[in-house]
Amino acid sequence: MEKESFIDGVLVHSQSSTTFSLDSSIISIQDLNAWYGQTQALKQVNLKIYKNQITAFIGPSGCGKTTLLRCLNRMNDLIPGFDLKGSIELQGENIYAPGYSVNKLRKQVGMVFQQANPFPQTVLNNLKLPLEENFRKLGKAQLKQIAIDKLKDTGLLEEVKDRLQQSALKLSGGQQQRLCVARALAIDPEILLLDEPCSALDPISTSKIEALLIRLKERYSIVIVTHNLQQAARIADYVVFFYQGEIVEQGLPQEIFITPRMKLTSQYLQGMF
Amino acid sequence: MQSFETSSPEEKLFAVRIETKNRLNLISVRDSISEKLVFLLTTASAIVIVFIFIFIVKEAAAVLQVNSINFVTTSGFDQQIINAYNAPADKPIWQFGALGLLLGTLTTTLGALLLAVPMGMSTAIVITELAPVRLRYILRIVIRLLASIPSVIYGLIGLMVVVPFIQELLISSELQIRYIDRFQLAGNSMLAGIVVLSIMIVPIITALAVDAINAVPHHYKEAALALGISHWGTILRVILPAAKSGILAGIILSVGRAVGEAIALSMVSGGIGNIPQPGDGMVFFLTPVLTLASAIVNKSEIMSVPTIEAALFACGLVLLVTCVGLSLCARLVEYLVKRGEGRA
Amino acid sequence: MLDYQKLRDGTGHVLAWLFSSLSIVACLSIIFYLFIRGFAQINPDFILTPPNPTLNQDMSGGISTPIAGTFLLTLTGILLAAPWALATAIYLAEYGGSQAMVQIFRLAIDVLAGVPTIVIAIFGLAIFSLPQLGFLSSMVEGVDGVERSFGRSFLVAGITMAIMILPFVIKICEEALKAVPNYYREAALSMGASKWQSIVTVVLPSARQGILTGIILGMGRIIGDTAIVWLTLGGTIRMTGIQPWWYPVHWWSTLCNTGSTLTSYIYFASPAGEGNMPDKAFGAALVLIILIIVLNIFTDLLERFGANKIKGN
Repeated sequence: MEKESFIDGVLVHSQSSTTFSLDSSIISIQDLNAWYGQTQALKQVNLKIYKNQITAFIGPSGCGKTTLLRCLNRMNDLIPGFDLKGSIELQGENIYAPGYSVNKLRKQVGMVFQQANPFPQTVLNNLKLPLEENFRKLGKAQLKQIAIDKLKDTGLLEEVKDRLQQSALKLSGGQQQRLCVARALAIDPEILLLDEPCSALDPISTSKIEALLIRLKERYSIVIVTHNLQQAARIADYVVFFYQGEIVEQGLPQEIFITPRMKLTSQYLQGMF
Repeated sequence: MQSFETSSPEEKLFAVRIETKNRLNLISVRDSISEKLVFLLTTASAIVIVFIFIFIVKEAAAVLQVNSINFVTTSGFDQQIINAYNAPADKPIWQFGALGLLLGTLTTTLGALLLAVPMGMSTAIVITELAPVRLRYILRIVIRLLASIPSVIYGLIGLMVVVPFIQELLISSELQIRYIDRFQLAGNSMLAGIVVLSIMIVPIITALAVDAINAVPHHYKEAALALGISHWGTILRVILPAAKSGILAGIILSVGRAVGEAIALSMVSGGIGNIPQPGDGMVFFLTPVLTLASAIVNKSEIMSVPTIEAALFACGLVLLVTCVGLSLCARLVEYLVKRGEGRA
Repeated sequence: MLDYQKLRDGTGHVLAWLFSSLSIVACLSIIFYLFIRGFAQINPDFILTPPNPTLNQDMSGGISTPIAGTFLLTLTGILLAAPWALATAIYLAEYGGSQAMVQIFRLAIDVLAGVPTIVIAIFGLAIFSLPQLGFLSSMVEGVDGVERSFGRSFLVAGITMAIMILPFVIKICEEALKAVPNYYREAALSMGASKWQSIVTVVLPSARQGILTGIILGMGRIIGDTAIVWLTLGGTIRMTGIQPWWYPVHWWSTLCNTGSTLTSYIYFASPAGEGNMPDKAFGAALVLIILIIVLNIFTDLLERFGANKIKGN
């Protein structure tokens, strides 16, 4: 029965904006349009990212969710032919304003990629390198302490404590991905972006990362792109559904997953495309 | 697309299949002959290096037997060549010592490396990371062209431009008189050799370093930039270390090129196997030197004398051993670095 | 206090641009200098008359035989090296697995790639001075009265050149073969073709651009080499076979005798050689560099054509 209502789900949530248990936004995106050369990748995106919550971007491949994620720390700057209009404000400041420091931005907005990409160096160096580059004044002992703390935070310390001086590429896929999370946390960002972090991982590693993210949201605001709807349902506090570069629907997970307003959303949830 | 229509693999294979059915036996005989031939030629390619060793050792044997280790620890090669040339045929002189040549090779190679490595690495970084896309393309074409300029042309330019320049700038007649007892100071010198050699190997180092840097997966760079590390910090601390094995192997290979360069150095480096004295100050660099490889070219005209021929082959053997060692070393370095990174 | 990172980044950028422009400018000025010095020499007479062995620069003639020698030697070398290298590349890429023997083959070829050309040159001299191989050059009487082979001729130099470029061409051909997607081979084999048939009918045609690039680059190396020419083609500036050397009936004689190429002519004509006519050397150097540039353009076009084709598919 519940499923039936799901299909025709055109239930309108009358007081959607007031029912959010979301305190304050940290990022606010206004009228964002983006292009790769001639192709428009994002159309009129308006969205708020909330503090200390997990926001999940869902949608079919090529819908623009990864593009938006990479706009948030300006990683798209690396792609030739990328162009953008509109504004993204981080704590009230437009990050695309001329003169805004990209390096400073990326210190505040950490990122974990789809493919685990630790540097081909030792486990410890992977954590020390961003620290040394960003916080020049730290002493050696401090550096190591922070590195150890972050490994502890990600639950990796127990598993790798004998292998700190070994190459990070010798860790398992899940361990590598958690190392990447630890590395992103090392520079103490306010926001953590994750681009399908579990797509290459087995279920056990996936659940470890999910548990980690739920723990981390106490201290960080998290944005995650995922193909896995169950994952979004399990961990997200706020869900945004993209289709062909536009936001079709956004809201609390119970709204999106149980009572979607748009036909497109319910079709996607049923796996029709 | 065009070629796909005219010669699609499927179409051809269909024809092949029909043919196969009709002439299966004939074809299998033809195939096995072709395969045997291919294997034979491959064995030949691999065995060439063994032949090179055998023949060069054989030709050098007489000199090595007489001089043994003294061949590389004593000097006086030029005079010994003259003595050997003037010796009567029934009393050949087999004494040779190539220490001077060895030191000439060593100093020119090291000097060229000191100049060429920073220049080549910088060019590679500019091509792969710093330059705008259009400029990168042009620079790559220029580097490839420069890598294919024949050494004799570098030698010619060195002789006509670098050598007179050095003579003009650094050598006074007073200086020439002061050193006249030991050697004649002209522009032809170790310094000229270093300059020419370094210009020759810059494109090689650049090309190999560009390949090594391009082989670094893009996601390392993304990871570093996403951590708020500056572009230069990323190059220095992430990209170059990840390209280390390829860069080192490239540098070792270019050492091989520098050590084995014969023509250009025989034109500009002075042609006499003096041992450069560090006590001479600047004149250390102005000493005319002779390298192992250029000695073979310089003295090749009097190779008909068996003793001299054997001495030159002994020089060739030293070169061969050095370069084989360098090749193996490059492989070892690549393997060790990759193993250290957990990639092999 | 100065920010360490900013200082490092700034210095790094400046140094990188400085060193790289230095090396590019140094190298480009070589080519310009060559064009300026050489251009005055180039005229039909210079290209079409044979050189004259004289110390008078005005009487020393042109460079027709060195040009012919360059073409002759390149042709001989590449005709020998191309099939040999291709066969080796086929074996390594298609048949060789990871057996110990193949590893040894690879190592041997790798080591050969690092051997200096001057060493390969004296090897050629040694092996082709064997009296049994005298038919490739000519027989002479040695100092000790024993008859030995002269060991210097176009054929000898061509074979030696082939050995010199062998590992280089093998490597490029092997890469071209490895770039052919595996499903081409699988399609062939699944239709009942034998391994050899699948290589000949599918793999080689698909890899032809890469193979051609390897052959052209190999030719470039032959054209540019001096050490092997100097030692194994003899120091003569003219063709020494039966004259006139271009008559078809004399071709074998020409191949078995000595001559010169552009590189050995430049060496000979430079102040380092006996000729001491630097203007002529610059003229020849310009012709040589133009040949090299033409070959470079060829490989560049081939590569772009190849890239387009892959994109088109």
